[in-house]
Amino acid sequence: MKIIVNRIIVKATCPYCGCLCDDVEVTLEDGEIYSIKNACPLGRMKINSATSNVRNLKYLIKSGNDKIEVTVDEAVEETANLLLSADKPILYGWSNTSCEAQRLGLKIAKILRGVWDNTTSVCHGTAAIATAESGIPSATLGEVKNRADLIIYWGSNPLEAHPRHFKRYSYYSKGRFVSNNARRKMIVIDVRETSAARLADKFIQVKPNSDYKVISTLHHIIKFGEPPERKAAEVNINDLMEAAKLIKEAKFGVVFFGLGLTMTGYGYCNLDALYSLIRELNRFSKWVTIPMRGHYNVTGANIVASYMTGFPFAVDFSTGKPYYNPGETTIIDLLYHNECDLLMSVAADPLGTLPGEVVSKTIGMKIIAQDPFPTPTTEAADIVLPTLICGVETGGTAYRMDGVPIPLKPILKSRLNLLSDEELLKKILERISWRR
Amino acid sequence: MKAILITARSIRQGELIEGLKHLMSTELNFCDLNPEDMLKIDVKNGDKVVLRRDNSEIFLKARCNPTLPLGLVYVIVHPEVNKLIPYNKSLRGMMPGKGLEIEIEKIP
Repeated sequence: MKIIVNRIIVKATCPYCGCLCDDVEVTLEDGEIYSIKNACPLGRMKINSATSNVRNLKYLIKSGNDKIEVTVDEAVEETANLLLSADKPILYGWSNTSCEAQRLGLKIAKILRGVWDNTTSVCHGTAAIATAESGIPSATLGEVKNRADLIIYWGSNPLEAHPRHFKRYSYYSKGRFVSNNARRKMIVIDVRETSAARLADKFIQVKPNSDYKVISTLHHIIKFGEPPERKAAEVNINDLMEAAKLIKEAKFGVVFFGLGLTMTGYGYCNLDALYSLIRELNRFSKWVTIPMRGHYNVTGANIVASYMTGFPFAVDFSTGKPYYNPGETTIIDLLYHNECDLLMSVAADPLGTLPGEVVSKTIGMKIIAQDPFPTPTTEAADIVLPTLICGVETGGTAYRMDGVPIPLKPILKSRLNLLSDEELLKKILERISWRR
Repeated sequence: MKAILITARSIRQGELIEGLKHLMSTELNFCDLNPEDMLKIDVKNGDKVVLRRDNSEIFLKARCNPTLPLGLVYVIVHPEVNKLIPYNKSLRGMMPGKGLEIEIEKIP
């Protein structure tokens, strides 16, 4: 008996986190996933989820206490009905889908005079605000890989959230001018000893919510060579003095920051202080900072929204022109104050990720959920729109955490008869435009 | 006992995000505490504790983590934990998911 196996290797980009690793190789055997090379556990899971049974498979519309299955055209028609009848809909999510889909979402929000917000508003929103106010001294991950000899992770644990970050772009990567980690040093600053902190050359433990004071103290030490008279009690000054010495010795330094900095204490002031520190450090040597973005295309959401409206997130079209005021036009503020009467979630799970006090305000609100997977939001939704997984079953464009665009190619042909986010939103946009 | 809540991600949490969120409440239902804090509230590994803030409360199992500083409770972020996170107008749209003051006590 002769067994013929049809095996091909597909070069892929992992659509999980902001690293967008584009060296993944997936071997397909007769169209099914046989093996995955160069992916972390998170990427592996995401690619394998295409064959998972836990998927949204049917277009569903709520009828009484049940949801009934409908055709794609009926689902699109009902979605258009709900969107057009809403006074102020909010279209939220957009970080786990392509830039092409994000662009369509912005067009829909503009026609409806609604609000378009992405997950930035509850993760790196404070960094986006600080960037708008003072600019961000940044670089690409390629520059970091090839040149950085001092790497600082502040409020971020890449080993858990971005598992290949060390190897591909920072501490363990082989760069052109810094060939191995013996020539790199790493400082981790966090409130607890994370797994990344255990690998660091220096770990600085800070008290919760004290990052602003610590950044200011470090800035003072770097500028004047000694700690300020009113020392921050939230950190060991000797640790900061040692860190300042390493920082001044570095030729090319980078600060990667995570939610430990954006989500605590003084919010966007933390980032304002960090950017100010980075500018000061550029008097001695080359220093940059890069946010550790979580969702694979949350950076793309900011870039697409910025070039289409001038604002990176929380864009309110209700006056006919884009208006942006985080704290007023951001999802948690709009939902908490009952200012929106319809929530459309695309490639996100607001009911599973937003604060409990905010989620409780969505009870009774009309919800449309577009997602490949079941979530608390699809569970509560009036309309469920299943889609293909972007980056696995369908392609598009995404932006890496450093703002570099990377093409996403479909890895395998889906066994499901579904549309991509882009195709579905195009249908909704056509329907709405025609009816308007 | 009053404590500071820190939420963060983990590899397992990341694996459950896409499609397996229903497993989070059983697989991630623990919180890490410093051994001295565990003594203070008289709990051992695996004992149930309640985390409270205002009128919200969640129930988790205690887990010993000697690397955590005193007074800190570390919880892997999942939908259940978000019940404790308040709305805060002054944060300009951000949710205060880290550094939140809560009460923690043993469930008899």
